[in-house]
Amino acid sequence: MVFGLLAFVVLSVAANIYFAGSSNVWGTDNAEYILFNLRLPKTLTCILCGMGLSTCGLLLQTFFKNPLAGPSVLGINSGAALGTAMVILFSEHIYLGYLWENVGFNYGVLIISSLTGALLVMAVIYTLSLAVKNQAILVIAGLMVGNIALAIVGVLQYYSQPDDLKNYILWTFGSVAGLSMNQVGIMAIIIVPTFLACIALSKQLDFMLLDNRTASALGFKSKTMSRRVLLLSSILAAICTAFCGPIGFVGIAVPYLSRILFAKELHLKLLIVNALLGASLILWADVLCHGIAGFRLPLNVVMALFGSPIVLLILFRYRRTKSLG
Amino acid sequence: MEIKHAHIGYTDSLFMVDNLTVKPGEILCILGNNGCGKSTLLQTMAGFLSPLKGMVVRDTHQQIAFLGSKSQSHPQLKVGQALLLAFNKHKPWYKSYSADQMAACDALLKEYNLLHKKGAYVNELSDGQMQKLWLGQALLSNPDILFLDEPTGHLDATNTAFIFMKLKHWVETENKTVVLTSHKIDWILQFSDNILLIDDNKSEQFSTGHPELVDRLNDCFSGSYHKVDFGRNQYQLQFKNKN
Amino acid sequence: MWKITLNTIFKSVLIGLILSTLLSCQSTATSTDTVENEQAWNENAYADKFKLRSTNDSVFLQIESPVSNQYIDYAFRKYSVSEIALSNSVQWSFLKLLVGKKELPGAVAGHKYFCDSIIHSSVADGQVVELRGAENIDEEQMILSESKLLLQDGFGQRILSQEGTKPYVTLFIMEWKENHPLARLEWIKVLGALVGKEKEATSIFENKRSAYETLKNSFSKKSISCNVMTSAPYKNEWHIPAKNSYMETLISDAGGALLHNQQNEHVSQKLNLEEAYIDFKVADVWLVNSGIEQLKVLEAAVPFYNEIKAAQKGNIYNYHKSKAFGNYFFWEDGVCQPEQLLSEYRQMFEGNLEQSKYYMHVE
Repeated sequence: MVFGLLAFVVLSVAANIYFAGSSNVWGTDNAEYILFNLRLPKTLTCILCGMGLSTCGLLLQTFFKNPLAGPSVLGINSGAALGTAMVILFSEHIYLGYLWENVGFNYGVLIISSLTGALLVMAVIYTLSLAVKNQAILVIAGLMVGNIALAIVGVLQYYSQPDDLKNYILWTFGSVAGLSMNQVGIMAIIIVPTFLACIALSKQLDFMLLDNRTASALGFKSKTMSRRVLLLSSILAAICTAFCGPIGFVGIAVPYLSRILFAKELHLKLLIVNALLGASLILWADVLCHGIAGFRLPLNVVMALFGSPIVLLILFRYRRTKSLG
Repeated sequence: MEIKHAHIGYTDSLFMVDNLTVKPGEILCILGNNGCGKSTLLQTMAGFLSPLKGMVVRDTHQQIAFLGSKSQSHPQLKVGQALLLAFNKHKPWYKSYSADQMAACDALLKEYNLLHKKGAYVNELSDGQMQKLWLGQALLSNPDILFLDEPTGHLDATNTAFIFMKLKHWVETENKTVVLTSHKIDWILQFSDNILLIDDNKSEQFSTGHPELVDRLNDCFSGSYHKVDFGRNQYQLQFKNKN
Repeated sequence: MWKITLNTIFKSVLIGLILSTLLSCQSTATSTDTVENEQAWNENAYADKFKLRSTNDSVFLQIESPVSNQYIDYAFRKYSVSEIALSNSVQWSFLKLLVGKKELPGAVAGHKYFCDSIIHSSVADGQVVELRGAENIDEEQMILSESKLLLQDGFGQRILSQEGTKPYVTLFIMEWKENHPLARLEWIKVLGALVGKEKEATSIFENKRSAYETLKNSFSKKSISCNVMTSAPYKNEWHIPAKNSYMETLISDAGGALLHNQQNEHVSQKLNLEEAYIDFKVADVWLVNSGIEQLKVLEAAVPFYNEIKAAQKGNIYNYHKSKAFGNYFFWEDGVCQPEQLLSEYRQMFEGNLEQSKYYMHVE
């Protein structure tokens, strides 16, 4: 199964590089430039983004002991969206010289503001989690905090200029294209170490599967780990959101699926498997974005349109043979 | 483990434990009416809460295990994984579980008659199976002191007997300590060595052979919900047999 | 040992974050070509969003950024029209004035927004490459089309590419940021310089400028009193143009008075329906200036429709006369015909719209 997965990932990368773009590229003089400057960064973005979002979802599902949890459900995406909207929509009113380059927003500022938004939401949820022991209430609280963030985004949208609004709407569709190698490098510098940190925490994550007190008695540091998990998942969600827009679906569906498909694994392997699945999902979604009869579709639309039926299919198949818990 | 002049409670003191010592090889049972603070005391002893005043003295090198009454685990956790997690503490994060550890889990599942459920999700087990599973996990982690909150909550007689037999056997063979709360007074009188009775914001400690114990138990429980008829002679006879 | 490694990992993540943020600030900061300012910029008659200077084989430009008040420096070589990719139909109407329809651009982004049939037919037969969408161009197609200069309008996606970073360079045509109709037209000088038709561009501009100014002077000699209201509401919001904007300048040069521009004059504003009712009752002429083509739609959208004087008199106009492929020529080449627009405005204000290219009665 693991080899199958690896083969699938390699296939996804190859398919993404070959198909996700114009079909008449190959054989022309420009093929080399397009491959190294447009396709490759896009493929790498897909991989990093899939890795980041699915890992974030897995951490949150473990933390909340709830397969419904995910960056988009808990409002982390909304928080990051608020941070980004501040930059895209509201920057004229809080004008700072370094906020803008000559023609667009500065990614450094974008990352910081979206990270701040995500951490703010997470901080609220974390504070609540200290007082409220019921995980279901926390998920609802996350939804509410996310709603507040989106409402503020709504206010910003209402008072913004039409062209800024258009930029923001385009951003919400999600896109893995258009990043330079430098920007992909920045994504990698943040996502890869964060992912490795998650792997290093895999043992503690395993403890989180158990009842909190049982785990604590076994040597699990509940408070420190809660803070770390929330911090790590916020970083992952915020970076992906800042660069690629609020991409939904991956964060919820992939962790749930990898827990079904690789039910025997604990977090050490599960994290890796999950990241690979997440990466290949976005790689294929990007192929579909470009692929169908010359139509170009936004990433989030493709994900919802094609991803959801696949998940439903898997759920039905497994419902017949095994129970899903 | 010792408790000295400890006031127990979350924010307000519910009762005081003046002086309590638990020795290895003993089973201590905390008895009392619903809501009197049994679980709070148990959590204080396990170190999850600190006493409002006074202190709980426990050797920090001692391993503990804690089994709550409502165990909330991840809905996608499997039975086999739950058992393996007992060994998680001493495993480096980059290593998998050893063959010995897996064999130990299988042996335990077989002994507990759960082997056919190894691939099932924990949340799908019946109450009795789940309680047995968590007990097995706690024992696998090889603690020095085991805390159990209502381990036999809504179990039938067979499963209750199974759990108490296991505990008694483990305490006697390995010289370990068990502290538990329970409402199954008949079973407790039979299996535990000491009883801490919480009544009217006071706590009293009795050994199970103590002559006043049965009177006090009758006082405590009859007042609240129903009259418990303890066959005094029968139990005393049993204690004599045992000692 | 375990704790130490864990902490190290955490610290390295944090340090990585901070470092990368700094890095990103640096790496995305673009290095703009320094233009020697020894020579003076050409003098502009109206436009103030660009500065232009050119030699036989190169063009130097300073253009206001689409997102701030800073100027971006550019240095270009000369291009043939087929080396240019367009993303806005106004750019095409400028080029058409300069070179006619003989030469076609190499690529366009969003040809469905163009009125000109030659663009549609040449995209269909593959002569002009479609870059798939004006907001988000397909860079791969851009490179494959072998176009060397991408003209952007500063809306949506903004690519800043100068020599060396990409196989093509980009330039923002920011004519929409100008407030005077002649200032918008003056941008034809930029395109003229880029395709080596500076003289033609200057003479086109000067001709149209003198025509416009002559008309304006003749109108100011014979003053009329005409209150003008513009646009139509969406739900409870009624957007109206700012003072000294393109629309307001045309209206006042034609002798009309744009209603409600007293407060907050320099930005376009939203009125609610109540404010609109108070202000617009007295309007003589209503320039709808939107996609609304039928009176009944307007009647349904405005609760106090029958109270408006312009509606009672039937003086409701819109720019729907010339239309192709679902787009209005007003947006495509209206910018190139300021004198035509001015004369149509005057005709509407005087109540006899006879010779018009853009405006017509809404019925």
